[in-house]
Amino acid sequence: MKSWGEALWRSASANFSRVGRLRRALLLLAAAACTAAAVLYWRQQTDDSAHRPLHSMFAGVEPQWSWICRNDRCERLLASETNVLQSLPTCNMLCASTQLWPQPTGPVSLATAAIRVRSSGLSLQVLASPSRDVTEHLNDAFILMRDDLKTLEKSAAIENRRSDSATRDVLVRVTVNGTGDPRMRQDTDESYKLALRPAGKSLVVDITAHSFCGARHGFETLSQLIWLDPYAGSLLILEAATIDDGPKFRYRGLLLDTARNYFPVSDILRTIDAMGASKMNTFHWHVSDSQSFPLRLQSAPQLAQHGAYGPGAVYTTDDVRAIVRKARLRGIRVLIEVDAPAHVGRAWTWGPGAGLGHLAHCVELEPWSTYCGEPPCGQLNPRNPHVYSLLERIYAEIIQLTGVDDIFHLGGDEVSERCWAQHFNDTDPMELWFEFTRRAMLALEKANGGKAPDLTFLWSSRLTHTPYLERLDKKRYGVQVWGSSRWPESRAVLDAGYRSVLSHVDAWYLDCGFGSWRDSSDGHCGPYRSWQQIYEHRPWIEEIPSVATGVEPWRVEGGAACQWTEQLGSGGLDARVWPRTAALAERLWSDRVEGATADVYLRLDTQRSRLLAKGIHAAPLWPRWCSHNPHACL
Amino acid sequence: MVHKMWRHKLFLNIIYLFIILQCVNTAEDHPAWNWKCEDGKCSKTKHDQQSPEPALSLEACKLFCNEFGLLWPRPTGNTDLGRFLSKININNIEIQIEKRGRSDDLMNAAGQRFKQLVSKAVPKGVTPKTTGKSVYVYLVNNNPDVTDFSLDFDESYTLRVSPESTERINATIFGNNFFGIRHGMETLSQLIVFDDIRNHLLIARDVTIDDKPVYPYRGILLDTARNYYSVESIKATIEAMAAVKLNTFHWHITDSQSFPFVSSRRPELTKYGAYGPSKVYPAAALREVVRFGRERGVRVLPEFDAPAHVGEGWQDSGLTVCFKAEPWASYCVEPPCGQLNPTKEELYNYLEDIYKDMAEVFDTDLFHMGGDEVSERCWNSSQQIQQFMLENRWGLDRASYLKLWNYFQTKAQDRAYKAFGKRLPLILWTSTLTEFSHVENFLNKDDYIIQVWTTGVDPQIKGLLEKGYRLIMSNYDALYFDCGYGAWVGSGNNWCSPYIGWQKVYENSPMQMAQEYSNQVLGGEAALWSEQADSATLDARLWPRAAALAERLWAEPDTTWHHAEARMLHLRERLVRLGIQPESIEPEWCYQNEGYCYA
Repeated sequence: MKSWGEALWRSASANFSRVGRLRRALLLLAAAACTAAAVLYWRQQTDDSAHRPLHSMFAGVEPQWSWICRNDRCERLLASETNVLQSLPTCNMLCASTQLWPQPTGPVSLATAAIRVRSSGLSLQVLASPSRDVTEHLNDAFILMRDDLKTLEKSAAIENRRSDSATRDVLVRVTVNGTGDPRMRQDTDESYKLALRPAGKSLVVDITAHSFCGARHGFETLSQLIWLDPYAGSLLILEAATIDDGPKFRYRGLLLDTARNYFPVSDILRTIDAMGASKMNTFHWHVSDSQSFPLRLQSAPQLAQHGAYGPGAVYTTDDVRAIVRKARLRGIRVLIEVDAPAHVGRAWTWGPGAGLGHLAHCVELEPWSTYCGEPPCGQLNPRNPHVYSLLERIYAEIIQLTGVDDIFHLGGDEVSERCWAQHFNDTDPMELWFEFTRRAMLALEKANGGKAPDLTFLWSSRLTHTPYLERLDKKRYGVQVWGSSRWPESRAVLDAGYRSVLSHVDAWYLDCGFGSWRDSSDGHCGPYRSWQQIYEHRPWIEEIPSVATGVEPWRVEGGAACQWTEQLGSGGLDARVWPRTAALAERLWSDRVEGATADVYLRLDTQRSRLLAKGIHAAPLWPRWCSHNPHACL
Repeated sequence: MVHKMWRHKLFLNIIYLFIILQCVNTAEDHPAWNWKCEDGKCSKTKHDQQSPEPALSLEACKLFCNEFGLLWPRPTGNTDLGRFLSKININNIEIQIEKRGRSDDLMNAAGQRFKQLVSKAVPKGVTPKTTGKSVYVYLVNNNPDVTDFSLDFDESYTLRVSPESTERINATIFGNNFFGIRHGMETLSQLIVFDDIRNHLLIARDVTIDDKPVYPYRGILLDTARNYYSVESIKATIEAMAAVKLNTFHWHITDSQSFPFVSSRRPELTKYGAYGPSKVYPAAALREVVRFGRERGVRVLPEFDAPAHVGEGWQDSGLTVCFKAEPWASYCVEPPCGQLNPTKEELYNYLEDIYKDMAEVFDTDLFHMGGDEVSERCWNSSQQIQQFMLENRWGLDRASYLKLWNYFQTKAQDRAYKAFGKRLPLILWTSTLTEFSHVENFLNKDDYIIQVWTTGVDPQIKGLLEKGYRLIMSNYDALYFDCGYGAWVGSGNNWCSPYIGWQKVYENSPMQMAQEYSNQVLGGEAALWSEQADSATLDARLWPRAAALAERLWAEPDTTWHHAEARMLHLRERLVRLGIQPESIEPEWCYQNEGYCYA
């Protein structure tokens, strides 16, 4: 009896490291005991189909290999050498690793037996919900998850599919006790609890959370407990599980620049799907830059008219709404950044014709290297009041489109002092910049119904250095730090106590390592950042808590991977971003102390195959041989 | 010479632009932007409706604003694109084959493909106007019975476009075989552009091009063993290769990680060696790829890598040593290890069967026998091999293991000739066996072509050339497209980092490496090793960098990448229209604003 219990249960390597370790262990034991009792009870009642080895379900081409879990590893054996025929995904799911991505932060216990299910057998019951809005979101998010499973199910080869054998229904019961607002907000509690167990002839999954987003993360985890067995040609689910989970950082983002090169809406929707699969919560949309302005706003249509690459390269407000809608169901906020005052271009050249004067200076001025970081140049005219009323309209429409009113991004990087100095030689350009930022903030406040967002981001820049940094109100401004983690100024922002999102160029810039696009040198930020480097970057452990020096505690909101697109077009997007961004997702969700250990390779490899099944062309980690022979390449 | 002429023509062109526009101008839609050719560059300007000057679309501007217009690779002979554009009717394109012969099927297929290429010039969802002239394409093939690839075949062609009447344009392509004619149609398709201002197809009206490649071997290697690629993705690669006149798809179809090639004589190799029952290349699929390639002037060259780089699939044969040996770093360069045991006579029957299977489906004029990265420590780990060495009165030192390798290669060579039924040229990778100090003791220069994968400054190159060997250049510092990503074993980035930009590929000149021996260089090849790539990443890894190689090998230009940049940016757009998903190399802004994205 005892040995059976031990074989059935395994405790995952969840995060026990800190205080409360003992308490958690006890909780885990209690949970394990309860569920084991339930499973035992259920097992006595079932017909023997549950004990039938999986190979009896197999009805297709003869598989060559069988994977058997030995010493916590899936070993590949010739099918003829073993009497148990088990596919690699099934072995992976039932062996030592949780196969969950990101790894949950609380206790996890998973059964080592599987049951056949069908996507159509999943149903949702909302037990408690704080608002109709949340209920509707739960229903729609559940349908999305079921559709994903349906896609997975369909990918099984037809000849392998068997329709006759029994599957179990899965009833998902959700309880949300907390906010009635389904949006991902600064204060959203994303934690959730999941308990899966057999009940009568079906399975019951209980998900409890404090927000829609938390419950949705529960759906995501549930979908990771379901997989396609290629030998059986059907979906399997673990027969029992309990998971207690919540993120370590509340801002987990991916930036996509759609201005250097245009990406169709379908690419963005796919990216949102992939983000949701790894529980990321912020799609930072760098929508405009000096090269193009593809966002066709109703409040300022001239910008896209003059700034888009062409008629096929624009985002309409309907496009944005579709993206926001999909993102919301995936627990993701869409943070649109219209970068200013630098990084503007031809989109802003229609001012004189419309009687608004020069909205921008230095647009496409030559030689560009004197006035900006890359061609073409362009900066807003800080002395033209029409600029600020335009910004107010832009900001208002963005807030209205995205529904994100507690966080905002003003851009604000790489301002050229020389550009402004040419036009305003009476004022220190840094003062102009500061003044611009102040007035842009004012415009934002007006756009947001007279209330400044809780957190408004600026990129790290000269403005976020001493002596200008101190003039920015900590209660309002946050800094997205893109400088190298080794630069003193990157650290200074944190030491000064500003809320920050980290995007260190030396770790989390996904565009690096592809050579220069303007000459044949190796490029400005090479080399390539591997997923391991991304995963192992934990800059916050360098915080030196100090009471004496006046250094404030760090306030790291989270991090974001940045995909700038000077050298990326639509085709290469998935492979460039995935699975590397999934590595960041686990860093920010779980923040495990360990680096890229063997278990991380195996779990990320599985996550990559989940992405592929969702139609995301993620790059492979290694030769497939290494997936077939876990640990042999490590 | 050509350059000086070009300078003179530049002035004329600016003047003639007005004339061009007379041919296309009709006051219709009012686009936001149009382009003007100034000083050899197309510049984007706001469309002024009041202007008497007719508006020129981006592509129409680029077609004449540059010595080689939108052509890629640039022609090597006389090139005159004329000065006039004519509206043509996409529904009235007629292809006439002047001489009939065994290549008729190929000619017909290539004609169909030409029509498809023309239709792909039109953006999706747009229906061009069907007014305009008809186009008659005459294909004059001097040897209509030639259908086979060879290293000394003639890929040259001549293209003439001229107006026949007010209703009709004639385009005539002369070639000495199907392959030359095919290249001519490829070029012709690049002279047809879509005018998005007037919603019309246009063709350059008065064209003379004489063209032929500098090197006969222009290839891409794809490794389908480390990770599997779908047959569709391979066909898409060949489609793009044809668009830039690359002519060899080198298929590294097996390795120690997997054996997806379906061997009909030794099915257990595939059964145990493939990643799964669906991850295989059966004979029917291979024949289809070979046919697809031939219609596009691309030979499909099989490689069976041996005696190293084997493993999966051979489990039951008893013919390998050190398969999956640990620690792998002692016996090979990446997991899993595995080498054939040359002392087993049965091995050569296996090899002959594999070669026969390959001969049947690939129908090739060349064969690649691999031969890289053989580990003497691996062989030396086998008691049985040690005993064989001693029985032959060889030692157990490096020189003796070269003898063993040579023993293997000699026997494998005989079996290859037997299997293919001819003494076809064989290709081997550079290795310790091919070191110029002793290569002639092992490999006859008339039998073997050596593919160089070390750096472009390796003294081996000159050494081998001096001894008379023919070379194919795949120097990893410019032509390994897998470089620059994270390491998949160990930490940091992969061994051949950094990433190689298209500029470096473009300037990687075999002629500079070979100097006075350049006639012994057959060409070059970009390699995509697939430890970290599969169907998902294929297009972006290969393109548009492989196109940079294509122009280098077709034309050996004496100019730098700067002169090719504008055309390269257009070529990338063209690949997108062909359904390829190439890497973007610059913001689209640079494509629309020539000459501003300098360093």
